[in-house]
Amino acid sequence: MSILTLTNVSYKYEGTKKNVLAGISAQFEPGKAYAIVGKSGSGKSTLLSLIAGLDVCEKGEILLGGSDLKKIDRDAYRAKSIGVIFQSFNLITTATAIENIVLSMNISDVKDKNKKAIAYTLLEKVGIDDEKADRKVLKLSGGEQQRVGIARALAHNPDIIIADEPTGNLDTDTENAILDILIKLAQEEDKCVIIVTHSKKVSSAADEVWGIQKGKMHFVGNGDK
Amino acid sequence: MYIIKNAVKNIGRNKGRNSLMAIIVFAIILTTAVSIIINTTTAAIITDYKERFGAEVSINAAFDKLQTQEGVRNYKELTPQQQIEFGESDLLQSTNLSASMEISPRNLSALSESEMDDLINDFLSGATRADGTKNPETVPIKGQIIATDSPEENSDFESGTRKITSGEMYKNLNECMVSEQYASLNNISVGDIIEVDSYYENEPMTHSLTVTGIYMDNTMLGSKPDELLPIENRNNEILTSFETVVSMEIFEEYGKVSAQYFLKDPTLLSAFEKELREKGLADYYEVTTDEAGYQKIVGPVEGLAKVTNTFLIVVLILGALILILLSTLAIRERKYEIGVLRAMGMKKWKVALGLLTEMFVITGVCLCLGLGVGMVVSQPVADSLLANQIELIQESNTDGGVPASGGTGVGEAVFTSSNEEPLSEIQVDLSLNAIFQIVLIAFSLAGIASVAGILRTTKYEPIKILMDRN
Ligand SMILES: Nc1ncnc2c1ncn2[C@@H]1O[C@H](COP(=O)(O)OP(=O)(O)OP(=O)(O)O)[C@@H](O)[C@H]1O
Ligand SMILES: [Mg+2]
Repeated sequence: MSILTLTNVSYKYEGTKKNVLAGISAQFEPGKAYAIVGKSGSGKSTLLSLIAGLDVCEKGEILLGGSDLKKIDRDAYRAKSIGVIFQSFNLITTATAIENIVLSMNISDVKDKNKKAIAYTLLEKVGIDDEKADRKVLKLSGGEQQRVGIARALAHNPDIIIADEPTGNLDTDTENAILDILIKLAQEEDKCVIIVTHSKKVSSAADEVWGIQKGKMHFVGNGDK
Repeated sequence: MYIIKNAVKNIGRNKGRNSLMAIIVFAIILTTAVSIIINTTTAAIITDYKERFGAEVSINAAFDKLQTQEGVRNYKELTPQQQIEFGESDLLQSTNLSASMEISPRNLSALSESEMDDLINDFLSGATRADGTKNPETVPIKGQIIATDSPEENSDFESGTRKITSGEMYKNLNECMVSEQYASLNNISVGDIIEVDSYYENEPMTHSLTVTGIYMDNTMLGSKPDELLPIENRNNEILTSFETVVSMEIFEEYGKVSAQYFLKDPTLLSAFEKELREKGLADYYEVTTDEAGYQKIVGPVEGLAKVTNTFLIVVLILGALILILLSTLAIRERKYEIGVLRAMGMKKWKVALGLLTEMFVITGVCLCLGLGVGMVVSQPVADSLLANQIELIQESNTDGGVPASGGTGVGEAVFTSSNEEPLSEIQVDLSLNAIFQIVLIAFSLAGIASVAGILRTTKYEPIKILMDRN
């Protein structure tokens, strides 16, 4: 059973004429990792923001389970059901890494008492030590900010994780570690993981690889596992 | 509530922007506080003045209206009954009624009486005039009865110019007091009954009064009784209540009333005049209030209130505009942050609540500081503004004389406001009312400032905010 079903999704930015997405259909299942590939400007981030419920498509529909994203409370959907790792991090730069994660957990209404401890553990998993965790995001490197963004996306334990170039700013070792975490989330915790990537390593680790071209999405193949 | 916590933390996260905001909010609150503190103080002073002194009403015959023949023919003095009736009005804060009546007691001697007077009187009394008519039979005036409606407020006894040396103040109908000299001259002691008679007739009207007290008059101590007429000698005055004098038969013919009317508020003048006209006041009488006297005293304070009021309005309008502008700019800068919060699923109203909390916390801190500093500086500010106002009023008043005193009929007004000095000092005070007003204004401003920003932000979908990122 698919957790996300896209049927004939089309999208066009306000004030532009060309459809960035022109009739995309796909199904995403829990327990699987998906890689989405495509040229720069092909619309990968746009698709992810629709899946993330940051905007709604003009034509077609995106179903979460059986319900149309257009019709449900998308704030609650973003807060609880989905974790987004943004290409440009989207962290609150004047706050510390820990504060970013705890705030996100608060927004998601995470009930755990010791949110800070959970946040430190998560950050440690993505390679951010306690000293850096207490630093303002502004004073972290691009790769470090990337990892804070990953930790934040996982902090409220969502069913769906979407990641926009999560390893784009990382060295090989860290890339491997992050990839490992994401794949394990699918395999061991039955999450639905969707990763937009240019990296061969990432796409070969995924269960399914899809390509976007000229507003359409097509199946490329299964990963090389 | 994490939103509140986060909002408070956020203030510290953006020190530069928030310091600027705080400085402006502080400046607005401070000026508002100073204006309102001065304002509530002056308002209290003005109300207090109005309450204490009311506004004295003058009822005077208008000369221009009496210039006509018809006017002269119709002219009638106000009767004591009218004057008393005029005082019975709900519009008045108080009425001072006093009466005087010249008398010639047959059985009593008067101080300063001289044989010469008696001789002259005897000569004129009943004499035949050049036209053949006869002069009325008269006896010389030998003093007067003075009556006030509230003996306990009798200014002579209050100021100490007169003192009771034995017995007590009259209380009931037909009781009176006489002076020490008068008592010893006529061998009167407390408890005696004296008879007073009208003058001018051989068969006088007579009234009996019981002496309850004997007074001493300090003003007469240095004077030479021989050089005075009996009517001028204050020791000849028989003091009694207004009620008593009004009940006397003699009064109807010879009594004179002096009345002072004090309105509850100067603005009630026209209503009071209407009432007087209905009670039969002829139109050649003008009803005026001692506006000039009131202005002289309260004018500077009212001027001060006007200055601070104008100032307050300007500050509030300017302040609101600056705050709206500033917070709009700030919101533009914070669009990204708001986009992030919305992307993580924070509801619009929670974002708005956070923004509002930040503004309110800043305002709250500035409010405490502003109230404190405002309290300290408003006294010197008020002093210098008031000094300016007094100077202004004195400049414009140099050729204007002291306004005529109010009152009606004969007798000197006991009190006229124009004798008072203008208020040259005010003691500013931070009243609860002032605090309430300042708090209300501060938070309204904060609210207005936030709403402008919040409206701009929440209308965007998060994607639009985030996609504008670069
Ligand atoms: N806010 C916007 N308004 C108008 N056009 C936009 C906006 N954001 C993106 N686009 C356009 O939409 C198209 C798809 O953009 P998108 O960001 O989805 O590409 P992408 O596949 O993620 O590219 P990249 O690999 O470089 O991240 C591009 O042509 C881009 O110029
Ligand atoms: Mg992209």
